[in-house]
Amino acid sequence: MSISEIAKLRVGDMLEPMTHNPISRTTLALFAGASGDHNPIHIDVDFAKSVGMDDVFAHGMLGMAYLGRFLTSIADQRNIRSYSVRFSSITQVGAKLKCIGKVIEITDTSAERLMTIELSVTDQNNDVKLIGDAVIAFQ
Amino acid sequence: MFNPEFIGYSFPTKTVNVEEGKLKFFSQTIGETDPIYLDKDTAKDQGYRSILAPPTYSFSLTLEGESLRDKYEPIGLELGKLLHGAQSFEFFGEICAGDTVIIDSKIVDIFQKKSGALDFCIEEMVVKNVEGETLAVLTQTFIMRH
Repeated sequence: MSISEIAKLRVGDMLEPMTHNPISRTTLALFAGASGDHNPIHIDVDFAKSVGMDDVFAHGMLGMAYLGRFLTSIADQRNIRSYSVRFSSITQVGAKLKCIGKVIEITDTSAERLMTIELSVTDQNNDVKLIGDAVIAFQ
Repeated sequence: MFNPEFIGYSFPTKTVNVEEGKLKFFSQTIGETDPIYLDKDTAKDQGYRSILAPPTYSFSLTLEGESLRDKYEPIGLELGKLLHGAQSFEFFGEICAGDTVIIDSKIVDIFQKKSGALDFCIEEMVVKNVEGETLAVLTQTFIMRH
């Protein structure tokens, strides 16, 4: 979105959601290598079973990276001041993640106008996987 | 269990080179299509030094050169019990391919909830450029389930 489009948003407005392809085992293997998080719980089903899980599950940071893409599709990355999430449940293989955003606050500081966006990621069953928020500057 | 004696512990400072190929691989893996994250010329045309690192890439830079086991087993991590509980970023400047960054990490808190069933470790990491300017501050919450 351009700065002028962002400036038209009001508190309570929902942003156009972003949906991602289902998470495959290949994605998890590639993300382990690409992200540097080699924890076998995400890539080795034998290890996952040995610690009591039924299967491997996605890196929390993969969901956060998808949500980051959603955020940078809204605002120029240079205008993002903060970005925080809580990982509320495990994301399973096959999950089709949807990124959701809602404007919850607009405040003025001496230097800039800031918009707080409430963020969440849900799967195809509407189970919440990540919740968080981001603050972007837009004026 | 995380060992509470490590509250306040600072890990050795790390210097990391932001490699273009690795950065591009990360962006491709998360399905990024915006060329500022993939193509050097486009990134430069838009005012960046080179390919821009996506917002969460600094987290990967903090992992570079050591495994979770190497870094956290001394403070009590059991990898099979680990969950990433929360993650936050404050941004003060962008990171691009070709940059060198300096990373300082510190354990700021270790505590338990639910009568020890959940074990928390909070770490703060500061990413600076070689001029000493802060680019990002990361706070991560690790949880072990017992």
